[in-house]
Amino acid sequence: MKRFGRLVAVRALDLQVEPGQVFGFLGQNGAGKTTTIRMLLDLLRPTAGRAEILGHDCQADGLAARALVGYMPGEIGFYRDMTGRRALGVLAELARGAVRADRQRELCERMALDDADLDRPIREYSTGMKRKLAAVAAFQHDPPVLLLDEPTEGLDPLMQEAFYELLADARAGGTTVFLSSHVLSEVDRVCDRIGLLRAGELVLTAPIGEVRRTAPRLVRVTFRRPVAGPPSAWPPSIEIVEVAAARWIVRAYGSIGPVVESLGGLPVADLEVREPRLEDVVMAYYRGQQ
Amino acid sequence: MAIAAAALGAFQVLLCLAARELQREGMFQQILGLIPPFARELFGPVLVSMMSFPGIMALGYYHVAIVAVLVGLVIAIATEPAGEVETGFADLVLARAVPRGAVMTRSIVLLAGGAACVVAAMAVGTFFGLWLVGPAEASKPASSLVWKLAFSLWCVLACWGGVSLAIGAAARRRAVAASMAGSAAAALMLVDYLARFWKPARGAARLSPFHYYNPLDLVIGKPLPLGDIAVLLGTGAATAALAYLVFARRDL
Repeated sequence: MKRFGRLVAVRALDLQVEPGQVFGFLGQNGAGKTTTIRMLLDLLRPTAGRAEILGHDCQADGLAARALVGYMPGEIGFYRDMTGRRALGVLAELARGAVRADRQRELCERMALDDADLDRPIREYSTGMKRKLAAVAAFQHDPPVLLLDEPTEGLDPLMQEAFYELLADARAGGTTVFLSSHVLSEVDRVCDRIGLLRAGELVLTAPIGEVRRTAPRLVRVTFRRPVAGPPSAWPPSIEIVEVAAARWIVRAYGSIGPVVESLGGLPVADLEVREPRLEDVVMAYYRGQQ
Repeated sequence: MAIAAAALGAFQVLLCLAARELQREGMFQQILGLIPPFARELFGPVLVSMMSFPGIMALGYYHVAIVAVLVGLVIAIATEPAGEVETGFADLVLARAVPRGAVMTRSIVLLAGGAACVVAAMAVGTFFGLWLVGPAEASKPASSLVWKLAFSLWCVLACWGGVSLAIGAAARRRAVAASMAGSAAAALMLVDYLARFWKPARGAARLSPFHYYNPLDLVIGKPLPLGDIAVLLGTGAATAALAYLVFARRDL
């Protein structure tokens, strides 16, 4: 729990991320995502409760915990007069010699930071370039845990792809990733499991496949000719969304078998099923419907 | 800081040059003659010591503008941690296996070392000025006087460094920390000056670090005031310790 004066920024957060997992931490602005990450890094002190990283208490044994972490903050504050190369050098030195020059070079290449970029002062960098530099800084010592706070914010689509590839490599290497994001498609793509924070409270935590399974599917039924309205007694797992003369749209929770059975004897021309999307579940939570 | 050190060192050379010219023209006695008796009585032997070659040479160590510049420099260094918290650089550094105390230690080393470099540059400027333009007939000040002046000035800067560091360790914005420390320095400097002419302010002046810094007493030959030095260094050390404590416990 974290309280700032009267404001409770994070409450009722009980969460465990398994080693090697990519965990997506979702929530609206002000939900408490960044506060949680900053508590894990001991930048903020929890008002109550405790957290651990790979068995090390984040407060009592914070140095050991942070030695295992690569962090990419949401707001990046390099010294403006430093060159990119110097900034990476300083942060590499703080990793106590764990950074190999060839690894740093490889990461810079993958994030499209060439020598000319690295030799420029950071005040000349765009927001996207600063984020690319921060990504290299987070990955360069190959930490077993990555804490990424909205990592692709400000990156162009090409660089987002490059970043996802870095993430995929890290995951393949067994790195545990804790990633906060607003971008649902990104979370859907890269995460194994998600946690949803609403007003500082964890309202959902589940594997991403399970979340999709619980989401309703939209079924659009097109008839060869106009038909009478749908029957009054539909199975409870089906919800009518729209009814037109020759087209119905229904929302099916779970299997779509009951929809097919209910259409028996009707002149069905086409049946279109839209796969459940993470957005549907998450947006429902955002709106407080679940 | 290097620019400040070079400028203040060069200023010391210029002061020696000015002192030589004043002495060559016999101006010290003429200026003293122009000062009304009540003012002489008010300032006492300090005034006579000011109107001498060592007094002018020492001007760089007690002139309000120079002391203000040096205190400003110290405040700028001491509030750097607040700046790093504000910009987010502290997040990048302290998200690594770096103890928070390291940020304070770095600032203290920079403060103590930086202030020492600047006052050492001033002392070197003084020695260079004496060697370059000091007239043979002048009663050249002893080397020990120059070092005592420099050390006393360093103690004042160390004291303000500690105070500013404690303020900076608690602040979220550097401008707020710097303006708080700067306002405190200006107010306490004013109180100290006021107390020299207005008795009721003398009690309050004891709270001012500048009360414990009297370089002209050194010029007239008094020994290094160890009590005053202890107050300045003790305050600096205590506030630096407070800065460690505050920075270790705060939310960044």
